[in-house]
Parts: sequence; C-alpha cells; structure tokens
Amino acid sequence: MGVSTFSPLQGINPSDIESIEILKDASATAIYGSRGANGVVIITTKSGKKGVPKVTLESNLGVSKISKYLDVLSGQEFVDYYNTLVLPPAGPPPAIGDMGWQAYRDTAYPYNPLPISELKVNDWQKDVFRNTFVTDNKLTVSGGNDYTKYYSGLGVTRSNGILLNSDFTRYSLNFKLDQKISNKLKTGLSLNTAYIENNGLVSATSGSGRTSGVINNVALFRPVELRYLYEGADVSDDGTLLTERQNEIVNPFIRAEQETQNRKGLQAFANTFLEYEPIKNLKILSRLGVNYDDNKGRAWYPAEFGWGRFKGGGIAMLNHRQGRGWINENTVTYDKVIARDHKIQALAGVTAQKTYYEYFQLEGEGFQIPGINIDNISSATRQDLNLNRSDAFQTTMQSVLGRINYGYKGKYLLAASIRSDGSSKFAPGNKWGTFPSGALAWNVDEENFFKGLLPHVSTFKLRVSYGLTGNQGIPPFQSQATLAPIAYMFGSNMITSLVATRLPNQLLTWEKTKQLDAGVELGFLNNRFNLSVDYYRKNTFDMLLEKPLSYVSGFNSAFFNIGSMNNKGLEMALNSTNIKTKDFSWNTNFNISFNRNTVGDLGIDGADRFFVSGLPYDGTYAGYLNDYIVQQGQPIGSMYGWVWKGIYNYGDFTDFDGMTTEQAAVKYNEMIAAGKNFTLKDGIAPYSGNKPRPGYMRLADISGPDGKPDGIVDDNDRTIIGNPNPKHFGGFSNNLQYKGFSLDVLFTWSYGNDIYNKNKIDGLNASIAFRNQLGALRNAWTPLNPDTDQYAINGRTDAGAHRTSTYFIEDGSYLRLQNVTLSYKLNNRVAKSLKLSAAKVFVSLNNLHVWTNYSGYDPEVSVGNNGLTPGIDFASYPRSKNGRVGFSVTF
Amino acid sequence: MKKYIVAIFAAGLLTAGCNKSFLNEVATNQVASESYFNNYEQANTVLGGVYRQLQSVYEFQIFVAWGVNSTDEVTAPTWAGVRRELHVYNVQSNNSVVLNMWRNLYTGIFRANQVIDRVTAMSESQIKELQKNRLIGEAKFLRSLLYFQLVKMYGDVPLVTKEITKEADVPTTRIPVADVYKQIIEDLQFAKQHTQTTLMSGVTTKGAATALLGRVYLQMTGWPLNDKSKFDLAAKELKEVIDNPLYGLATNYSDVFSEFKEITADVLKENIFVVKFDGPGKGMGGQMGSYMGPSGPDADGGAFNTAYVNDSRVALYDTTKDIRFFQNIATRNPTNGAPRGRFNWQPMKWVKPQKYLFGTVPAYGYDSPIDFALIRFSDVLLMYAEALNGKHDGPTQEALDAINRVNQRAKKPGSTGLPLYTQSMGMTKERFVDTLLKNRYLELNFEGLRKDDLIRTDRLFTYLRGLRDERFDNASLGKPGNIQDHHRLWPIPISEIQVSKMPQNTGY
Repeated sequence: MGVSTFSPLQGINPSDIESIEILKDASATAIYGSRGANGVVIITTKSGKKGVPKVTLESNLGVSKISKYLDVLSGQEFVDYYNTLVLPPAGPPPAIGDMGWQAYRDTAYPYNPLPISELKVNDWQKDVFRNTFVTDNKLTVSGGNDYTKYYSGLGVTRSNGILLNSDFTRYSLNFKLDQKISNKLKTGLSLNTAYIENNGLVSATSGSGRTSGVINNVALFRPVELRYLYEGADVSDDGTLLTERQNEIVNPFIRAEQETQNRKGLQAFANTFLEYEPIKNLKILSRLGVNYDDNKGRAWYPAEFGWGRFKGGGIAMLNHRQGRGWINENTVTYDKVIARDHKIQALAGVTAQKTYYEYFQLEGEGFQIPGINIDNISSATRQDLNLNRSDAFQTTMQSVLGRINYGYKGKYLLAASIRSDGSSKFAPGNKWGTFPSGALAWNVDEENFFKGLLPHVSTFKLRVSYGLTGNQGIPPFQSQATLAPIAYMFGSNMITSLVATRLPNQLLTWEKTKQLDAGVELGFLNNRFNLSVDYYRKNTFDMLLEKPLSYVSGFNSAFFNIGSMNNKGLEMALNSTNIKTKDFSWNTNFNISFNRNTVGDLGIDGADRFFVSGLPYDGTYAGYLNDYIVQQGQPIGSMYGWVWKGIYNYGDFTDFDGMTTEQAAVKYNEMIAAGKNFTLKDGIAPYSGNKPRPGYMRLADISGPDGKPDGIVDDNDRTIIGNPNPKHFGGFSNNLQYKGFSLDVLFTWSYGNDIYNKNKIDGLNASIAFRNQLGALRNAWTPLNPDTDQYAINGRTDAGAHRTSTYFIEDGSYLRLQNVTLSYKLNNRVAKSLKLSAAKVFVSLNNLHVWTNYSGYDPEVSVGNNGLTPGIDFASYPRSKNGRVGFSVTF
Repeated sequence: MKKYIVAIFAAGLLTAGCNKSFLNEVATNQVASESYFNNYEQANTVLGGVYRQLQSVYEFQIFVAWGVNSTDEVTAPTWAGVRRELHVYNVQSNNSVVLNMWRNLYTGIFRANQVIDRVTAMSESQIKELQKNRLIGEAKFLRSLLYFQLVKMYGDVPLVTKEITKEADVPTTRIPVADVYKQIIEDLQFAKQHTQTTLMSGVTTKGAATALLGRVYLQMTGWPLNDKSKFDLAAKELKEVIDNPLYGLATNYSDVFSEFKEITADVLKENIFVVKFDGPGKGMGGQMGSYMGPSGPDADGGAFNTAYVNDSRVALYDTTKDIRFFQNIATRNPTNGAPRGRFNWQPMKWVKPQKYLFGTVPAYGYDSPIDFALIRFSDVLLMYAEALNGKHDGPTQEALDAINRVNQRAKKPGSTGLPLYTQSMGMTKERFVDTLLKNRYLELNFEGLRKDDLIRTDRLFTYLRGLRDERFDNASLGKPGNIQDHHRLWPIPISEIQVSKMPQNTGY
C-alpha cells in the first residue's frame, strides 16, 4: 500500500503560479548547488500588487473517462482458448473437483465444452473503469500599498478517478506577504500549504504479489465465471469468483469495491527573508525556508477475499512517513556601477540545510468484530513483527559560494562563480566538492555596427557558459559498515541478531558534470518572429552508480563513483505572430529537442558493461532478469535481450517436406499424439535444451561462445534490443484570438523511442491458464492456421522463449492532441456594467486523441522509477481524457 | 521587532555555519560494525545472523527445489512454474532458484567469515578463550554447512575464508571440489572440538558437527571424488554419534515433524541439528508445511498445489503396517477430510494442523513455526549402514541392525511380523545400496536429501530415466528422464558470470 508519497508539485494549485522558469546551464544553476544538478525549476507563486483589493473567483467542472481499453479476448474466445489449453486427462479418470480442466466442460465423458450462454460473462474493464466528475474552485484576494503587499488564495480541487471508488481531493491555502520596514530593511513571508487526500487502488502493484496488481487484473482476470470450482479458487456466497490460486489473484471489481486504501498528506513550505542594506549598494540577505511533508497511509484488506482471507480475518495496515527540513542561506551582495558603463555585482554566501526523515508502519491481522479494524488496530488477534517497523535518518549539507557578474554597456555580460559543497552522505575526507562555472553573453544587437546592418533582424544575442556541477543523490550510510537487527531463535529464546548490511565504500564522493551551453537568440521584423537555438554538451563522470557485485562478496550490489555519461543535444524554439490585426491575431509556437545519450567509460576493471533488471524480480520468470544493460558507447537504459524471429513453422522442419497445410496438420497431430519430437532443418536453431514444435516462438541465433552463430539460441544470443530515448520530441501550439474569444490548440509528440511492454508477458502467457489473454492471441498459430507470426497458445511458455525479446519491444512514437481550449473574456465595458473588473469563461478538452502504434494504454509511460531502466510499461495506470467548462471573475 | 528578526537569522547562521560536526552521519537504526565486537554477548548476537541465514538457504532452495523437486520423490505439475522446470531438468543459467541459492549461500558465508575474523581478533579482556573458541566453532560449522551445499550444487566454487571488506578482495577463481572439501573437513574438525555438548534446539553441538562430518565423508565416496577410502572415516564419525547416549530415536515418528508443539527432550535427541523458525507474527516464520501438504485453503491448514507424490515410490510403503505413510503422504482434503484418489496424493511431512482434524486451526500462511530438521538420528543410522556396506563391500549385521532400528519405530502398534521390510546379509553390495535408498525414501522422503543420495550412490540417471509419471508425462514441458550428465550440478547463475567472468559448468 501507499509507500509512495505525494509529489511536492501536487500541493501547488496551478492558478497560484505566477511564473515557471527552467534553468539548465551550469552557470545559472550554480547558485542552487547540488539541488540543481539536473537543472532547476523555479516556480514563483503570485504576489500582491499595489492597489485596491482584488477578489477573484475561479471555478470549473469537468468530466473524465478512460482514453483507451485494452483489447482482450471476449468471453467466448476465452472459453475456447481455455478449453484448448487445459485438456481433460487422457490417463486414469480424475477425481471430481480438483482440477481446472472442468471449469468450462461437462462432467461426463467426453467432457464436451459448455455453451457460454450458461455462464456469467464479465467485462472487467467496463465494470472497473468509469466516467467521472472533476471540480476545481479557487478564491484569491490580493492587494497592497507602498509598504505592504499581500496575496492569499484558497483552493479546493476534487477529482474522482476513472478507477471505481478512487478519488483525489486537495485543499490549498497560500499566503504571501512583502513588507518594507524601512528604506534599509525589507522582509517577506510566503507560506504554501496543502492538504491532500487520496482514496482507492492507486498503486498498480499494491497487494501481496506481482500477479495481484489491480490494473493487470482488470484486463486479465478470468472473464467467464467457472462452472466447477477447483481447489485454490474461492467464490462468494452468491457464486461470484473472488480469487484464484489460493487467494493470490483477486477479482478486480471486488477489490475496487471493498478494499480500503487511503492516503492523507499535509505539505507546507514556508519561506521568510530579511534584507538589510547598511550602506548603499551593499545588501545582506538572509533567508530561512522550512518544509514539512507528512504522509499517512491506511489500508484494509477485508477478511472475505484475497490476502485478507489468505491470512485469515483481514489485514489492517497503517503507515506514517514524515519528511521535514530547513535551509538557511545568507548572502552579501555588492552592486556598483563604475564610470557609467561598467556594472559589477559581487556575491558571497554560506548556506546550510538539514533534512529529517521518519517512518513507521503498523499491521494487524485477524479482526473478529465486524466493522472494527483499521481504526482500532489493537483489536487484531495477530501481528507480524516483520511488518511492524520504523526508520529514521537525517542528512545535512553545507556550502560556501561566491559569484561575480560584470556587464559592459549592456553589450557584454560576464559571470563567474565558485561554490564548495559538503554532504553528510560521504565519509570524512570525501565530503566536500568544489564546483566553478562561468558564462559569457554578447548582445550583438546593442552594437553600433550592427544597427542598420541587417534591418530585418531585431534581436541578435549570443551566449555561452561552462561549468562543473555536483550530485550527491544516493541513500545515506553507503560509506559505513553497519549491522542491522533481525530476529532469530536460540533454543526457544527469541533473540535479536545482527547482520551486515552492505559492502561499504568509504571512497564515495560527489558525482560531477561538466556542462557546456551555447545559444543564439534571433528576432525578426520587430520580434514578430523569434528563434532560439541552444546547444548543450554534458559530461557526467565519477557517477554514483549502484553496480552489481559478484555474489561471492556476500552482497548483490554497492555504490561506486564509476563511469561516465555523455549527453549532447539541440533545442530549438520558434514563435511567430502570423497575423495581428486590431481584432484578430494568430500565434504559433513550435519547439523541438534532440538529445543523444551515450554511456562512457564505466571504470570497471575489464568490463565495459553491467546489467540491471527492469522491475523488482518476484521469482516467477527468470527469463526477464537483467533486461537492461549499461554499456559503454550505448545509450543508458538500453533494453537487452533476444531478437524475436516469429515462430517455427512447418517449413522449418524436415517432417513436413512437400506437404500441403492440411497434410502437415494431420501429421503434426499424429506426431503430438505419439509424443514424437520434430526434426529441425539444418541452420534452424532451437533454444538450448528445447525441442521446438511448429508454432513455438522462435528467437534468433545471432552469436555463440566465439561470437559466431552456433546453431543454439542461448545466453550468447542476447543483444541490445531497444532504446528508450526519443530521436526528438516537442510541442506545437497555435493561439487564435478574435475580440474576446481565444482558441488554443496544443500538440505534443515524441519520435523514435522504444517501450518495453511487459504487460504482454502476463497478457500473452499460457502458464497461468485461467487468466485472460490479449487480443493478439486470436491470430495464434494452430495446425490449420500456420500463416501467422503469433505463436501457438503454449508456444512461448513451453518453448524456452519465456524471456525478454524484441517481441515485447514496441515503437513508442506518438502525436498527442494534448489540449484544445476555447475561452471568452468579457470586454471591459460589459464587465464594468456587471460591476466586475474582469470575467472569463472557457471550455477545455484534454488528451483528445493520440496517434500511435503502441498497443498498451498510453505511450507516455515509464514505471519503476529507475533511471537505468526507463520506458517500461507494466500495470501502469491508464490515462484519462477529460473535458472541462469553467469561469473566472474578478471583483 | 527588527532586532528580534535579525537575531533569529544570526542564530541560524551561527549554529549551521560554525558547527564542525554538522556534516557527521550517524545511523540510529543500525550499529557500526567496527565498534561492535566488544564482548561475548555482542559477538553471539552477530553469530545469530549467520544462523538466521540458514532459514533462507534451507527453507525452499535446498529442502524443496534441489532435494525434492529434482528427484523421483514427487512429480511437479505443469502449473508449478520454476518448480516444474527444475523437476524436468529444463534448468538454465538464468533460473531464479539457481541464482537465489548461490546468493544466499555466499551471504551466509560472508556472515560466518565476519564472525570468525572479528571474534579471533577479540582480546582476552573482551572474551574468555572457551567462549571465543565456541563462537568460532559454531561459525565454522555453519560455514562448512554452506560450503557443503555449494560444492554439491555447483562443483568447483570460489573459496572465501576471510571477511570481505572491499570489492577488490572478492575471489572469483573456482577452486577444485577436493580443496573445498578439505576446508569443510578442517572447519568441522575445529567445530567438533570446540562446540558445546549440551543439547539445545537450533544450536550447534559437538554431536551435530560429528554427524555432519560423517555425512560429508560419506558424500565424498560418490561423484565426483569417488573417494572410497572415506567410507571408513564416515563410519567412524557416525558411530561416534550413535554411541553417544545424548542421541537416539524419538519414541513417535510423528512427534519429530510436529514442532509447532513444544520441543520435548524426546524429540531433541533425534533432531541433531535444526534450522529454527517461529511464527506466526514473530518475524521469522517459515513455509514448512505450506510447500508440501494437502492442497487447500491456508486457513484450513492446506498447502500449495505444486507437488504430487510419485506413485511408484509411494507404492514402496506397506500401508497396513508403516505409520510413516500417514505422516508423509497427504491423502485427504484438509478442510473436510474427504479422501483423494491416489494420483492426487501429495507429499507431506511437516504438517500444519488441518481443519478436519482440529476444527479451528491457526492460519500460518507463509509464516509457520515449524523447524526444519537438517540432521536426524535416523538419518545417521541409515548413513552408518551405508558406510559399513561401502567399507566392507557388502552388508554387515551391524548395518542390518541400524536399518531395523529405524524400521522398528515405524511399525504400527499391534501389527504383527518382523521386520517391517526385509533385507539380508545375502544381498550384494549394490542391491543393498538399492535397499538403503528405499529405506531412506520411506524414512527421510521430502527432507531434501534425495538428490544427494542418488548422486552419491550413482543412481540419479537410472532412477530418473526409469521413472513413470502417470499424470504429467504427456505434458509438453518434458520429464525428469530428460536428465543429462551435466545435470548433477546446477549452472553458475548467469548474473554471476556476467559480473565475475567465472567459467560456466560444462553442458550449460
């Protein structure tokens, strides 16, 4: 349950945002230190403005629905599939009621399939996903005078999730005050708080095991209720199938309806500053920020089904996670203009910050009083000490920094900065890192010689920067050898024993990135057309990577400063005012980004690569271990596995030479009945240790122990099979205005990235017979349907091909019509007559359409949250499309 | 007001900026291992962590996957996933069990080495000599146990005998089997000399070290070392245990496997060494009783539906006279006690209380309190008979007596005729080996020993190739008879080879 927390962005109401600024180059981010290692996003919330108090009310209402259903087998198709896969035994007559094969068959020999009309059929996707409402309301008051300015906002957002019984509610309260105390002293305060509540099965993998994730079960839970129960399946009193495989696989509708999963979060960011100007041009600024993030999770797994039934009497879980911290920044800035043309600014400062993390979790099992569980966990009859746990740690950082900016006549701008950062995460001696940077800008259009040179060019600016930045993003204590407690017994005495936690690395220190940025900004025809082009090159080295160790060490992996990575790219943005008249205007914005990523020297003795697994491995399918590779010269996050070659077909075997399909089918059936093996033709490679049949999935023999194809498909035949990085991505938007009307249309796209669609591992897998299958199985190989690429229903499970291959890699390119908004702003005269200072109404449609070849819910997907394994789709939450209408009035 | 604000900021600046220890990192949820080995109690706590690792090693990996699923004792149904793969010898280097076993064994070895090195370095003021040697002895016993498993499953393996403190110290050279056995014997001889004699469930004793040494010697007589001279050494060690008045057979066979009850002195003398589990809700429960047993809802005392007994092996039981049949073979539905057809019989042994016998039963789930007996006295008796047969190139009266002593207990009260199963001095050495394997099946089935037994006696291929499985032989995934020469070992896990470049076992 809710181990995840809310993102800090969830606590900010979008309408409180004044501006969002993204800083990428090393010089611009230098002031933020390692917090800005991957760039800085500055979200400035709104401030009050001088004048009479302004009251604004905004309100909107929307509807939302799932954007796409997965194609799965229908009820009849599923029953046909099942009865083909799970055959009645040929041997001795089996005992009634203990095998799955009777699910859709008659009890008497010859065990004919049951007509589907006698069975209850469910479409779980239709039952569990729904159309819902979303509302958003917001009230703000702002104003101020020469000394005091204020802004405050109160917002309520409520959205019901497309998954049954899921919802999200946010109350946000913001307050911002700027106060001038005297001409020399200023202070200010800002406070952003939000209370967030979330109900429902939001986490795709919640529950006890991989197969029990609700999102996958919505698609794959048995769609037809079985006629005969076998052991391991469980039904409710009214005959509804609740669970299969000893409560491991749970009916998704029952879960959505009856399980409780609830998270509540309180987020607060408070910032206060004091600025003092003791003498002219010298400013002393001290800033203190505190943040607080409190997250509480509650879950109840009822006693009637699933995990709660498996363990008996239901399970209640509570967890509480608290993160808090403070940051103090103190700077002295001196500004001076010398001889009118030379502008100098110098800054020096020290900062310190500390974060605290605390967690605890409680679990109780076996509740006997109906209705009493999670709110009185002491009424549990059992506890599991493994699940009751707590944790706490702190991290600290300190920095010293200095910066000088120099400008000459507004034409030349120079900046140089240096900072030294210390982190508690590294061992003494390796705590500190020093990071210099510099930047140069030339506003060519300010030069006298330029004026008149190119009359159509209204803006021409060049800029370049270079710098070093640092990153310390690893878990705490990695440099220390520690022992962690774990329970054991001596005789009948329970003791707390201790076990080593890791192979410590005392040499760990800052990861560093050298970054070069160069850009040009051009404006034409009085800036009616603007073009900006930015080039960047980043070289990250001493990377903090968790590298697999030889298991002989006693550990799986450890953090090292190893390896390097290169990123280079080009970003272009073009905006154009196509038409501008008094009543009508048309603006177009276009931006495109290209990024190339390559892994550099890994710094591992004798190795240029290591492997990573895409999702935590649950012990079921070993063929999907190590499905990502980090290899020198290749993009990070490369998918790794076998090359899919369709299937083995009649023509690949000597047994069917010269036969028609009908003849081959007869012979095939005879050979299967006689338990005979099929003989592959020369040059057709089988999977190591397997005897392929027609219809089995085929993987390519591309290599062998000596690097050449060896007639066997095995571990030597793995290669890089996918790149999650797009060749380019971007956005394209148009804005049309006519008088008070405004129409915005936004498209976004990504091109050339691969998605590793792990849903197909479950969705086209016969090893859990009673799960539904994806629609692709309709065209499966059968003796009389050999003209297909889709393997026979047993053709992957039995073929040794149950492993990562290009079969699961799909093109993730897409073009999305992200947003269409039509709004109307009342003209001032009409507004005044209504005693309003402004008023606006709008209709907005989001995620209207996606053009893509990707077969999953949505191509914009990456689960697992690991930078080394991007682009996985497994049980991801489907995306919704929604429409909203709303208004905003200012009094 | 103004002064107050200034003071706050100044205070913040001073505390944060000038405190030298501000960047220190102090863990409050773990202890620093550097400063921990100060006295006997602390060292003993870390030793507990080595014992704890046995839970991960033995519970599923050896007990079920290696020792039961890969043998003629059971048949794994087609839906049993990785257990089916192991059963039909469709095992590849990326097999998850093969990986977990390798990883868990070396994790245990790290912990044992840590205890051995750190306790060795403790001064006289910190620990008494006797206690010091006892702790080292226990750690060496555990280390030998882990290496014994490694060498049987993977063949030549890297040998680590020091605590690893940095990556560069990790050895990746595979050491020949004979040299690994040398280390195992050396460790066990030390353990035998220095561990305690008092019996305590789950704690290494002199008797446990002696019995394991006997088992190690006996295994060395088979593939790959085929060192027949070790029969004599094995017999000597095993005889020492048999003659030790502390050990003997428990009165009732079923008591040995019912450790969810109190551990009595009667059971303690038979279970020479056990891996402890406790539960539910203690943070150290096992799945004993869930991997095997009559399939059914956990809340009714049922088990997973992932193994059936092999019918031709169950037929070895004299079901009218042998009480072990009822302990070892699940023939009834756990909920209502309804009998099941013989093709649906399942392996049992460590039995969870079942609903049809006890009414309301505890729902153990994955968290049962049942200990796993690693060395039992009846095993020692049967090993002794085997060692004598090997040593004298045929059965001796003493060997027959050892078998009969085991069978005597197995006899149903009131049944007539002795002995329960017959074996005689007239048997050839090889026939006596088959008899022994039959008796080992009847007494020790589903205890994770079968594959080692078959390899040691060179019967793995003949037994598996001759096996008929009425229920699943027609399934497309293969059958145990597919076994080939290289299958006496598991492959080195592919993810190990990818990191350390050590050579793979032949055939994989």
